Amino acid sequence: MPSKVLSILDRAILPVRILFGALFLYTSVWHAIHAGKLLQSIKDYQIISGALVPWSGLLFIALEAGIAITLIFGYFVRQAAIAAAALLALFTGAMVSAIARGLGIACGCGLGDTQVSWFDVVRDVLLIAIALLIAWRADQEGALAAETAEQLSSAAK
Amino acid sequence: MNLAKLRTFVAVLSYLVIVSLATYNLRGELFGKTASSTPAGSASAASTQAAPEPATPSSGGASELKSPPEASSQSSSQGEKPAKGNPAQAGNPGSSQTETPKDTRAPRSSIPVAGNGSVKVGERLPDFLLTGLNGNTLNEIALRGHKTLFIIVSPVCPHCQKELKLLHQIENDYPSIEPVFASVFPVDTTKPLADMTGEGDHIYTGAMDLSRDLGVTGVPFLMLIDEKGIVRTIKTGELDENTFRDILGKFSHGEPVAQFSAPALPNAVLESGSLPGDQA
Repeated sequence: MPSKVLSILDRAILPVRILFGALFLYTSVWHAIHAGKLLQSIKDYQIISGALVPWSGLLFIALEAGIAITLIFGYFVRQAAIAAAALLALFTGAMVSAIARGLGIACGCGLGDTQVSWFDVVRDVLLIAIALLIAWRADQEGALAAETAEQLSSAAK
Repeated sequence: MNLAKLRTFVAVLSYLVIVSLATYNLRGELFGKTASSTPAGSASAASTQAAPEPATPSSGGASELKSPPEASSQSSSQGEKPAKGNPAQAGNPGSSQTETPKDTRAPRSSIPVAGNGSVKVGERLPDFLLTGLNGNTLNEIALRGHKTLFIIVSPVCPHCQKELKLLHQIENDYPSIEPVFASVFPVDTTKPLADMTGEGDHIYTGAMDLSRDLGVTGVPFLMLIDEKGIVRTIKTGELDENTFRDILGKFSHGEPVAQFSAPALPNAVLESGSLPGDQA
């Protein structure tokens, strides 16, 4: 890939990363507030049951929040982006499974209580691609962000 | 405090706030508190039920289901039921709640929904929320994706006790069928039934409103529900082992199951819409 394209990509990654983190922040807060609905969604998928349901719900929220905070604040960006891709892949698999079993259930994504459909699957695949893109360019984008911060700091002085 | 430390502090604080909020809202489910301790609007909060009066056992294999006077004044009485075809409103067991937990989840469908005091073969159950003895919950959507043996029971009904003991012995022969025993009583009164029958994992409570929705007048009230959540067979009254093995065997293999109510049952709920192969 030409270096000019990569340079543009690296400059674009910063807002993408923050927006991506903000999306996770929104869903984690939504799930934390509507925890009962999240648990019901987990049950509706009929993959996890019993006492594991509330703990898995808490784990999902903790992971979402962790990913969101690290991406927004720029800590462990690569690891967080890979974790986001893995989590999204897990959700995508669950949605495909629900569609294949003919379960007419809500997505439970926190992005509208619509019935789970292939649209949700495509959306999650796109989000996985974005997460992997962030992970791929994490070092370069981080260096660029540090350089920009340094320039701003010296300009302020 | 420099900027880097402030950034770290804000990040950690934000994370802790979100996780604490989630833990607070999930505390009922995580640490086994009662449903009433969960915040309003959460799914489990809707499981709060008015305690029904005991059903009166009667001879002939079925027990009459009495409606408690205090419960009849609730908004969930039959005369005030929402119209059929609206699963979001029909049969919400948490009648004291202002929010229906599943109101946006039930998909639109042409399948008729039971309610208004009746249930027929080919209908789907109205939305409901039952609470298990270990605090887990069950709703209508959770019935989908697998075959279900759904029996409305009363813990003080000797026929129900006998039937659950029998099913405890034979249910493992039909692993594709998920048993659900919905007690019209609250948790405390239902626990002895679990101890007596060993069916604690399959017993749910708070089914009084659902039983009213379905027009159940006698227990045990059995329904076989297919993978799409559609009621395929309705039977009232205690059944013997041979009958159970016959209907569960046929149902597990996808064969039509007889639709009948045992003869000599004074409180039998007879429904129309027999399936081919009736053996009444």
